[in-house]
Amino acid sequence: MKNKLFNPVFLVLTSIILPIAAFEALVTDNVAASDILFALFCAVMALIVVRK
Amino acid sequence: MTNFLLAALPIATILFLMIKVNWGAARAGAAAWFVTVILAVFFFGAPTDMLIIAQAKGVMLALYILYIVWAALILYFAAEEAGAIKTIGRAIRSLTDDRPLQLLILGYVFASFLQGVAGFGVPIAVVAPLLLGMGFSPVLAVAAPMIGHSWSVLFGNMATSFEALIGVTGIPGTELTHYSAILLGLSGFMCGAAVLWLDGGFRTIRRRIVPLVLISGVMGVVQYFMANYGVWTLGGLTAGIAGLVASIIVTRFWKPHPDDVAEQVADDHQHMPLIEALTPYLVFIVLVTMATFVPAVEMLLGKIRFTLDFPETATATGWVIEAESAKAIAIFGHPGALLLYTAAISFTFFKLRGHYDDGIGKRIWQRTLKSGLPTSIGMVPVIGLAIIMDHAGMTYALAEGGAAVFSGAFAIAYPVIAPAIGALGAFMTGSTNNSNVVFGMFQRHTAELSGLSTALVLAAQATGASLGSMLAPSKILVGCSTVGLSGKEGPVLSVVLKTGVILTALCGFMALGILLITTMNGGT
Repeated sequence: MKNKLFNPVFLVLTSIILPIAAFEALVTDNVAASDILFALFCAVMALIVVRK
Repeated sequence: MTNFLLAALPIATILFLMIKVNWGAARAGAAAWFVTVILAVFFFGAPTDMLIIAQAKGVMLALYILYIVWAALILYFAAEEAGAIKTIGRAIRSLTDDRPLQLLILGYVFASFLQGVAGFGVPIAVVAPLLLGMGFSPVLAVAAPMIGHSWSVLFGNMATSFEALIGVTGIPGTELTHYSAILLGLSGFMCGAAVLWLDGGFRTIRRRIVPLVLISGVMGVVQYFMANYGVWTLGGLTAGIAGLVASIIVTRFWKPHPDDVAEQVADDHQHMPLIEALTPYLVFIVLVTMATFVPAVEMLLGKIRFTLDFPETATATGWVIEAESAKAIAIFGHPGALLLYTAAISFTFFKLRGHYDDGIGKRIWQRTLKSGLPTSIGMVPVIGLAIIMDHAGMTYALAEGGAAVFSGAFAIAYPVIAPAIGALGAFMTGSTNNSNVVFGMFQRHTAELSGLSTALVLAAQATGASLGSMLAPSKILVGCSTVGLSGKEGPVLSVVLKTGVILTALCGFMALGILLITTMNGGT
């Protein structure tokens, strides 16, 4: 699981997809989904910080 | 002043983590991203909606750049595996035995030419591995083209960033070209000198002052005339071509100093004719020329575009960013697509000529993945933090703080700070174009309020933004990925930061000098 979370392909794809998905949810007035997706993006940023 | 200090914190964080703690750009960028978000929300009144919109814009810009990065890497490894890079390096070595002059021709002249043709990090992605292959250190291999190409950014790549300045300020280009071309020409000389300085300090510059003055002089003069005759879109390209011609002529007559003769590198590869080795770059130039100058091709390639429309955002403190569309990615006409076509053509050509061993496709892909992934991880946080700063009004607070120092009696000295603001914008947004968009109107207002020449202050902004592109973290990531320095970008940033600060300061003093001379002559 740890290896999968720190996998560079996973980090690249999620850091690209999540903000766009959050934005799309925002423009369709789905605020809850938008906030959750952005929170997940924040978690990906945290993974990048702790990844050595 | 508080806002200025708070807005400076993300930059301080990224610089501290990369230079002092030696973190890679991805980790440092992500840490600074958190600092930016916290400051934006709690001190600049940014709502969550704004963060989401700004981050989505950041991803769109990152995609635009990553398209080029991945395609440039595939092209580079396709050429490298065939032995083309070694052949080009050998050709430059045979042009002159003078090692610093080799560095000048590749890291300054060739990089400027590539900026005229393509831009968006292509000069660094192409030149850095060539220099590495010629025996220069990885840090120098990245830093030299980063510094060398920067003066050519404003009028390079069809002068898109100059057009942006015209668009945002509403001042005709013909009023801006005179001072812009003068400041860029002088800065070009200094960029060339800085490239030489990297290889051996002032002694190296002193020994090569004649070729440096001749080559940079030719490029600066050609760019000045092109810009002032209304064809600024070709200013960077023609200056680059003139620089290459001047370099070939100069090297015919130049005798290297005995201390600086390049070492003979062991030749362990089968020889390939130079014209064959240059095929990828010649094909690329032809494709770019067709995509730029043949309207039918340009229209065909630009048909399918990927973009997003972003609504207006506003912070609680009243900082508003108007609704806008993301920079459209023409799937088949983007510079990255042109690089991919080039890679496919070159790969087929080298394969037919028998330059590849078995399993070449897998090897190129594995090497591309190894270099491209670390770069890609860093791109989203670095660009994201810059756009969040811009949308929260933090970048503007930084510029305003700097400009406040030069108010009242010190207004006459404002041209000194104007290029620094432009460079800051390029550093934060990773783009000369964006810097001109963000700070163009601000600089115009400041010049008008201070009673200074608007054309000169805007030229200083544009030149600073051009020079500041050497500091763009995204470009450093691109360069490092091609020489095996991914995750170790700190030393490169340290070198280009020192050089960039000095060159921007010198540009400021030149702008002040021009102002004083025109004032004494009774001009405006």
